[in-house]
Amino acid sequence: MLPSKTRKIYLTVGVVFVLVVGLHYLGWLRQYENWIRSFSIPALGGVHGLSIRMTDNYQFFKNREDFIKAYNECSIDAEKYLLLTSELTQLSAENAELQTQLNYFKKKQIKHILAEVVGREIIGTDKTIIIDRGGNDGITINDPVVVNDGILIGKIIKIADTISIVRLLNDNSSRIGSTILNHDKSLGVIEGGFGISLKMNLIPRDEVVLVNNQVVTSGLETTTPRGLLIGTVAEIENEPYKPFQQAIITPATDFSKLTSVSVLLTQ
Amino acid sequence: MLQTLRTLAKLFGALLMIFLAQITAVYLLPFPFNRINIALLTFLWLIVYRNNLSALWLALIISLTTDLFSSLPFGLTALAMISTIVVTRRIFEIFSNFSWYNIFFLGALGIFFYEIFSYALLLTIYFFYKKTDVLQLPNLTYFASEIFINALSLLIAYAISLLFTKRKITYHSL
Repeated sequence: MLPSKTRKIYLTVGVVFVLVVGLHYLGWLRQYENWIRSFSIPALGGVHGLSIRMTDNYQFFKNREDFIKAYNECSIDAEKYLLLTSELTQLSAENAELQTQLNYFKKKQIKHILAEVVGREIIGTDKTIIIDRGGNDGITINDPVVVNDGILIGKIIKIADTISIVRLLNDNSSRIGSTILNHDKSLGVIEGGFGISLKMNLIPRDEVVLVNNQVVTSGLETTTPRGLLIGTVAEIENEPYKPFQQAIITPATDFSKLTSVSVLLTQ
Repeated sequence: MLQTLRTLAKLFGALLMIFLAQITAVYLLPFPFNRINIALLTFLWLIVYRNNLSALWLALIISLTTDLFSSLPFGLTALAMISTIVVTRRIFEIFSNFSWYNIFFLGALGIFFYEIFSYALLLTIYFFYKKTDVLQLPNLTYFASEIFINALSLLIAYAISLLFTKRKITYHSL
């Protein structure tokens, strides 16, 4: 049996909790919530910006061994660059075709809205980011979020008046229909893996998938346009006893260094 | 009047410090240290170890504030956190004092309950309202590493606190 003082505190906390949650879902606290958000966002944004600058600093070498290793890697990269230059002419035609597909803003005139990334999930394991645009700006659930000229990074999963939460592609619960730009135009589903990787599943096993093939959205989902770049194939897993093959995808952008994004307004 | 203002200033300062500490840990520390749940560990420390039950109000305010920036349904983090604190406190009433392993156990059990409550609540919500969404449960290694890193952090905080407080604080059940 709990002492009366303890019981009283538990009860009042419980009542206040139920009251606040109830009023939140009724929308009566919206004004106060927006006020708290506008007060907290500068702090979140400041720490988020600092985290990006700090991650950049990790790139510096800390000792002689790291420097030599980095120099050797640079030399190898320079050789590869020479080889790649010779292939440039051949690839330029293909590249032009891909650019046409990817440049959705100009080609299809999809409405989009620019947003600043102000933070990430504070508590919890989800890979999400917080952006400074919300329902007031016409954003709706499942709107795709892109960077640059059409690199998909995730989808809107929660909206408030002034902010929205974006689930990144590398989140555990993220699933998106995608196509590999190979000869067969293989279809599959991209899944996130604990914020670390992207995996493309359900690729028919008889289709030829090559490393460095680009992966774009398939457009099979109503809210996601076709042709948004996701990444490139880094590794293929084709087991003889499995009906489908899998591919590990290298994302086309670094999800940990996002500062500004565009939300494609689908409605 | 002055006393009330002082109490309010203290409350606001504590809220700000815990909130900033939590976002700093999550945003700035590398994996797996960014999984340290500073807010929950602070409240376990204050409410279970220091027996300061009024800190439950702080826990409610902080968790509801973080809920405003969470991808989870509003109230879920707060409910999971409050339930964790209440259950863990009830369990730890059996101990007459705290030792090193008790502190480690407190951190481990707290995070364990928090994750269990969070996923149980989330599963319930998904079952009734969001049947089409995908809910992926964390793998065991990830879960265990999170529990270990949080329990270890609480133990380190305990060790640091012993350097500054010479007397050993004992737990008095209400």
